[in-house]
Amino acid sequence: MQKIDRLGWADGRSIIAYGLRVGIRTNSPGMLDSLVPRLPVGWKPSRSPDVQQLYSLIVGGDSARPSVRRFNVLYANAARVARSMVLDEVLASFESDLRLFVGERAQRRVFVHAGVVGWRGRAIVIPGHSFSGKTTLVRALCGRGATYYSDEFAAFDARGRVHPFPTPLGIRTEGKIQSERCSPETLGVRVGGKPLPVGLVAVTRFKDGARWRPRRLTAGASVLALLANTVPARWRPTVAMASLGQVAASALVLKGVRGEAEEISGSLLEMLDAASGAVGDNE
Amino acid sequence: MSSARDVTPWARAADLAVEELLDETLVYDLARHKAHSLNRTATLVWRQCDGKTTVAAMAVRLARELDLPVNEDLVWVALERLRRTHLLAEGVIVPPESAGYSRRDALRALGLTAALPVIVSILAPRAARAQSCVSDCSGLPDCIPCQQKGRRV
Repeated sequence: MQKIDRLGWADGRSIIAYGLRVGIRTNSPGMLDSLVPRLPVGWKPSRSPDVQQLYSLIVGGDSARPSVRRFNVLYANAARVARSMVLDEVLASFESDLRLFVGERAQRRVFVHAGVVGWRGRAIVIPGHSFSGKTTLVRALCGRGATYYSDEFAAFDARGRVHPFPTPLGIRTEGKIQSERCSPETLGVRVGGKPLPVGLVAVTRFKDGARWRPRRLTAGASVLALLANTVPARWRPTVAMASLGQVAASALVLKGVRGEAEEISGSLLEMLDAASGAVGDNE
Repeated sequence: MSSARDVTPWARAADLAVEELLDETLVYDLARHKAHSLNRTATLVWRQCDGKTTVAAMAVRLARELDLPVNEDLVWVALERLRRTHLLAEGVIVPPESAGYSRRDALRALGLTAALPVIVSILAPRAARAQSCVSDCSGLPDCIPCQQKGRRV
């Protein structure tokens, strides 16, 4: 770490996110502004020089010798996180690693990899891994008037309510593995602001030609389905199980493969209405 | 020599985090990073594994709690499943004459399938497994590159 400290640092900043203090420093003036869109939702600047995680970003590029190019390198504390000639890849690693750090260590939230929308005062949570079709379903639900909460994480509190974590939606085009990021506003999607109790959890993945015939999960199976996508599952299992237990106790949890998102989005909203007895417009 | 009816199993207590739900119990094995969901029957048997209660006594209590005519076979099924998931302090030896499918078949014949002990387990994900994939994994110990994650689904 001392070796890294001795490198020349041109700029630095402390932030606080979900109660965690994080430092970022770089050898390139102005680079910190490029990192701002990649910071976790709800971050705030901090004055404290003491941080729990310190990111050091060395921007490479051309060196004094014309035939030599230097790598862009990112450290998290003393560990090297990424090294690449492509700066954007290193910045993506910064975002991913910071998100992981916050997701794992945040004391007052349990982060579950899931898409989340709000509908008439309740949330629909769609847990799942990458490529399970979460984003498509979230967009289809938002297209029917649901409010956008997250495409990435369901951030649960101790009472089992889900808080907004409105990251840009990662839209994958056919044939491409890496997703393109689109802000909710660009897509004309309304973003929710208040924490919501969970009304419905849909444990589902896309399967071509499948029909949506879900089965209801027991509370125990529901917690396991959520825990399988929980970032701090190993780090804080007791807290995670307690929070997810609150969700499972109050929400309708359905599991099954689905076909096209458009076909089941209406069904999900109707099921939520029926389960919660809600009527009227979505607010 | 004591018979199988006199066996008094112990529930494992070390390195477990337990969360009670309505009729079920969630158990997280801190040593193996496995989470288990025990249904009502498995929960009732596991809670009685105090090193004092015999299998015969467990069956009597289980019949009372479930309000069903269950016998020791059902308790043995539960104990075997608890043993396999490492939730008993010591390995319980299932009597060979009542092991295997014949016992389950007998329970089905009695119409007690709803009372069968069920334990559902998952391996808890590492933090990186529970988030979106990233394009560049250089240096990230648990990172899932998009190509690999794409193949998994």
